[in-house]
Amino acid sequence: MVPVARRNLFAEKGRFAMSVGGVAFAVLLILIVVSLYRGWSRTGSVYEKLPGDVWIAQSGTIDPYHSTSLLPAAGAARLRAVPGVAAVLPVYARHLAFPATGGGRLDTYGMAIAAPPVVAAHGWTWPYFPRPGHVVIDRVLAGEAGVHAGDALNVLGRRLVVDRLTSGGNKIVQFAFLNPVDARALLGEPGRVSYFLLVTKPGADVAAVGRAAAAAVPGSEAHTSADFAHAFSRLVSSGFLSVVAALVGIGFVVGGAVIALTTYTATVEKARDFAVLKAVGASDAFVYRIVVWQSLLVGLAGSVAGIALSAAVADLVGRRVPEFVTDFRVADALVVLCAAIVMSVVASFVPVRRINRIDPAMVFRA
Amino acid sequence: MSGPPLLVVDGLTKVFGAGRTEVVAVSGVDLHADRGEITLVMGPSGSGKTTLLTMIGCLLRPTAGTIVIDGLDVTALRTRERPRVRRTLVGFVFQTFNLLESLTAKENVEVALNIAGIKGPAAESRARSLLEDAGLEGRLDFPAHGLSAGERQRVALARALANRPPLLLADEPTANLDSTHGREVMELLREVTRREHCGAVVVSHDERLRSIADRVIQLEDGRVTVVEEPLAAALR
Repeated sequence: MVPVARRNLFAEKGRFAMSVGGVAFAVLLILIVVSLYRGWSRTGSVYEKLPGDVWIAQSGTIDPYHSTSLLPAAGAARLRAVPGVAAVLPVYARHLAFPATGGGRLDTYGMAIAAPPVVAAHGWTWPYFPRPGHVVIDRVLAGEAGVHAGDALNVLGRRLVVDRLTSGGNKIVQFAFLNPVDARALLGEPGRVSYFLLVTKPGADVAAVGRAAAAAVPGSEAHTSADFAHAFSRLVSSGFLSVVAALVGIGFVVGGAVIALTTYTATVEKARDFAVLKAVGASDAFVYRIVVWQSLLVGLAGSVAGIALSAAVADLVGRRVPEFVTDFRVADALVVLCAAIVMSVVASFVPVRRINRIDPAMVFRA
Repeated sequence: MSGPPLLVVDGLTKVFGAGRTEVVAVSGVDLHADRGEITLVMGPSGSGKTTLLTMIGCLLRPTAGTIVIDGLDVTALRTRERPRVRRTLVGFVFQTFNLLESLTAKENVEVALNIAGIKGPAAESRARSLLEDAGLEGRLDFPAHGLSAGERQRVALARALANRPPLLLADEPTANLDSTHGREVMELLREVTRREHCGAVVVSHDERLRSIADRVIQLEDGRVTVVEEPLAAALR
């Protein structure tokens, strides 16, 4: 088959490039917003990386960020006796807000996990267990505080040396890991811990262990690490999902409009060519196929360019601007590609009436 | 002559508008054409030549009368059946060539074959052969916009012949050509009607075309005023 659609588009290279650029820009907008959303939603995934499966928290704890949980430190002994528990790690956590050296306020969620020897034996030493007087902070906080590894931070009157930097945090939520010695002092609640993190024995029923553990400590409840991780995803969702949805919607509308406009313009400009095709016997289906192909070519070329651009931008942003945590997923790109195909087909219906109105007899007019 | 004529036009009439705006473009035209013959339709501007051609080519419905091409009454066909007539029974050659500018010479012919369902190597081979016959072997992959006027008209003629239609319809085929290219196209038209054994109805102001016409029909105000058969007369 003669590639009439492709030739029509490539005959106007400038317009084709602009159309592809427009669709690519829309795809870029969609994918960057989605990857930012995914990146921010992933903030809580640190809970799934920590050593332990079950968190024992004070009853009524919705999520670690919004709730303050305090439990008697003595509960550790009872938890060790719960069947299926391999280790009990007291956790000290609180929201830390402290003045920055150069003015302004710094915020982070500080956490300290008291690791018994069994944890070290599992190799879980870094980056969650800094030495006393040291702190592991997120790159975002380091950027805001203007500090690097080896520099000192004054946190609520306590001098802490930045041990190393982690990533994954954002402007709203990021984590700092302290040594329990420092955390206990910052928490200011002698004889109390924030949580108990339970390491379960291999093969243990995590849910059953959680129930038994919560029963062993009055006024407590059990959450899995996944629950806490999801709590952060929900936090991001509740704040940003509607904004993300609106931006993604705008992206699709812009992309669809560009495809529709290009297809319509190309159809109107080539009206005489379509009249010639009709005059020499082309069926309506034959002509529609050309229009659909034109639309698909713009949509596909724009989407592929947009996806490649998004991957590059997401990578660059992730490295250059740590607070813009991006999580570019191939699955999202494929969804956008499929949506672009659907949009292209839908956009190709825009000039259908125009095509129907093309009178093949116009070819006899000079 | 054996069998029915290739084209029989009987009492063909076309009226545009109604009441005070009514215009009778073609009125009661009868004509016939046979395979291998060229029928030249002449007349002043506005005499109804192109309207007549448009109706024969199934691009315009007549107000009255019948058109039978190769035994098929095309005036009785429904709208969605008419494109089939245009791709199988007639081939068009236009005054302004009407090539698809974004395609090459060969692709312009191939696309007509694609429309008729002929694709791939078969279409490519047929297009090549037609263009070579038209003396365009060195121009196959030239973009249409890169061809001279004479070459473009020869490509248009090759496209018209692509699906081996029994009837060619040409609207002022030499009007946009200089005398040399006009002569070449006329000779090519004469040659292909004989080689392909097809008939041609040619609408033109160009008196030179009389020399290749088997029959000349003079139209005035939509009516046939004179019918001549110059070649037959010359032979007599």
